[in-house]
Amino acid sequence: MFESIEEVQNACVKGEYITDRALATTLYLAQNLNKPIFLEGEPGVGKTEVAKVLANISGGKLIRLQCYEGLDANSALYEWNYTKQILQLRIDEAQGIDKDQIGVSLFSEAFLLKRPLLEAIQSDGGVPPVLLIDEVDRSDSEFEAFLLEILSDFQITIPEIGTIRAKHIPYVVLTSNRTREVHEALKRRCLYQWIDYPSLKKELSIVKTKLPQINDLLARQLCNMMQIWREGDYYKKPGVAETLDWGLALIALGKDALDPDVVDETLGCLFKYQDDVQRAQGSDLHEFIARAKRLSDSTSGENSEQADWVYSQD
Amino acid sequence: MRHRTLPQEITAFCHLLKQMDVNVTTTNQISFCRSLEFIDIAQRDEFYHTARTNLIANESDRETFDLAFDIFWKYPRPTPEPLELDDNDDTPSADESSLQELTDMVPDDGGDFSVNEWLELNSEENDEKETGDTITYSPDDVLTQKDFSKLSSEEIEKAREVIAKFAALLATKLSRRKELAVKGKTIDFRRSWRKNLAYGGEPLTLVHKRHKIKKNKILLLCDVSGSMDCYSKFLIQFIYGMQQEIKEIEVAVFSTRLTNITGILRRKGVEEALRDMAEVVPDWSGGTKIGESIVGFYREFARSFTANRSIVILISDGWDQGDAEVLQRSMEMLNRHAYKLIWLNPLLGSNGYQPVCRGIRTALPYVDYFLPAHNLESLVKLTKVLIPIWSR
Repeated sequence: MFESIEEVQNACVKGEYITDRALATTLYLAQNLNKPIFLEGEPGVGKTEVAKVLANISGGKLIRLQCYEGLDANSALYEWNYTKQILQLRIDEAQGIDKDQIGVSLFSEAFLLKRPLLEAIQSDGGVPPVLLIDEVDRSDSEFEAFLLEILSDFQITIPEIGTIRAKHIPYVVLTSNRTREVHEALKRRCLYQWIDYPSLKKELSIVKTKLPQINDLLARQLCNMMQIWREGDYYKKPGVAETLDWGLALIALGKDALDPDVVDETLGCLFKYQDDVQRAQGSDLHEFIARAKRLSDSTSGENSEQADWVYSQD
Repeated sequence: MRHRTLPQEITAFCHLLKQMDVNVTTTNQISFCRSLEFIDIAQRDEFYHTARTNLIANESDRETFDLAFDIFWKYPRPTPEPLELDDNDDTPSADESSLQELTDMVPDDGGDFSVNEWLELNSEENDEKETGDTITYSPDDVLTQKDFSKLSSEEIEKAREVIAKFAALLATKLSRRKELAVKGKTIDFRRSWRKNLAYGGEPLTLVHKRHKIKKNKILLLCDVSGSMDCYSKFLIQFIYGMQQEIKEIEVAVFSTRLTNITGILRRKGVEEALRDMAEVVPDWSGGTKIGESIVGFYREFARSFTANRSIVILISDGWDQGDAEVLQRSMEMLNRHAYKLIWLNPLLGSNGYQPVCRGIRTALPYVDYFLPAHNLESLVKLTKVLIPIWSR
């Protein structure tokens, strides 16, 4: 679908997602090598968004499997709808169908409840679907082992029906918040990419893309302020999701520049723990805001930010 | 001068990464080579991102990777030397070879080879590498060396974590009996039928059950004879940690005689307990009479043995000076009365070790699990090995 890394990057911009070169390379290679992508990073840096955008630009269906503790193969793969099966039996009996014929159709696809993994493998559109396995660190290690098997073969055997092979190998995106270390074997099967908090320049383009109604000055102050927040020592540093929330809040309040009062009132958009809110309130908001303003004045107009990885040729 | 091909260069690069402790598998390497087909390798950043996404699987490896990448691809070495790297891998490290020597010198019968001789050997060859402890015989000295307070709080925290995991594993087992459980894997047919009578006998809702979890009782028997001295730092951590984690535990130490130290451990803090232990244990760092000690152990704890849920952990290197027949009889007895008999042997940690000495050969047939334990890392591995066996 994509011919080059630039094309991936451009397509992502069209899909309102700003990528850096590293992530674009991973997406491009995943498509060519048919390998899953493993994304790690702090909450709120846009890992899940990657899958959504990928589905959006490829035109494939997004199939999402949200992991949780105790998630097992049944709820990820398939289950027999046995209430329906019993009702079918009753109907068969009531209709007086020949004894040999009763229950013959019970184990057919009509009685199969498809769960995300089966759905992804069986999907029959022209374009391969995007399978998002979200927060894989929340599932337990048995499920991880099970994923290993599915992700290497892309086929599922249902004893009563037979083996189902994927027509198109789906794009698989796994995400992890690193609440625990995911097993090396699973990570090694994937293309690994760490998503960090964005640089000032990247965050600015994200804000401008996602919130086109924001004015330029506020956007710059906002992003500089975010960089300052992230220098602090908080239990949960605000991510990009918080930046956008905050931006929306400020727009809704009709503000076109930061001031200490409004920052204090809207801290709830940024920090989700009482301790963090208190620490932020305790810090010198006036000084922070003045710094953010100074920084945004000095960066206005030109792009003085460095690229994420500077290309150098000897 | 011969030039290396790109795959050779990549192999050399992966070798470099491995030497820098980044775990790169062959699969990753192949995947990386395949990726090159799709990118423009003249573009340095494309090449870099491709290498990174394929070869590392942890953000923590990123810095090392960047460093290796800069070193390797910025200054390609002029002479082709990929074979040299291979050679390095093949020659055994200094550690291994000295251990090999050590095990070579252990005689087959172990009978007329005195423990002291072996100890001297051990202290010359092994002490610095293994634990950094020197071998001492006076109980006081031993204890200052084994002082918990000498460890940094981080170390203690880490030790506690590892031991807690191990203890938690041993502390319970699955009973054969079952109990109701929403997440249970098997269906309780009897209750299911009863419940579904309300729907006219249609099995619409199912009741599940699973195995009950039963608590085990741990009996920890630890060899503190001279030959075990270089592991004592670990042993004390281990004993104390186990005692903290498991409620039903009895601890005894022995060299020529047995001393029950459960009470001391339970009453006091670590430092105090250790000081008291030095007073109570008359023969710390003495010779070894395993058999006699086990008999004493059994006599002392006979009433603590509960059928089916007593796990006996015996920590010893197996250098026995006592009567072989007594040892055999005592092991047989333990085997009959314990649910599981685990022998943790510090020597098993060294490569090339064979359980040839008399004590071990006599005892081995009666042991359920014969496992290595000489430091915390080995315990981590041990826990991993035990998990699948235990949960059967």
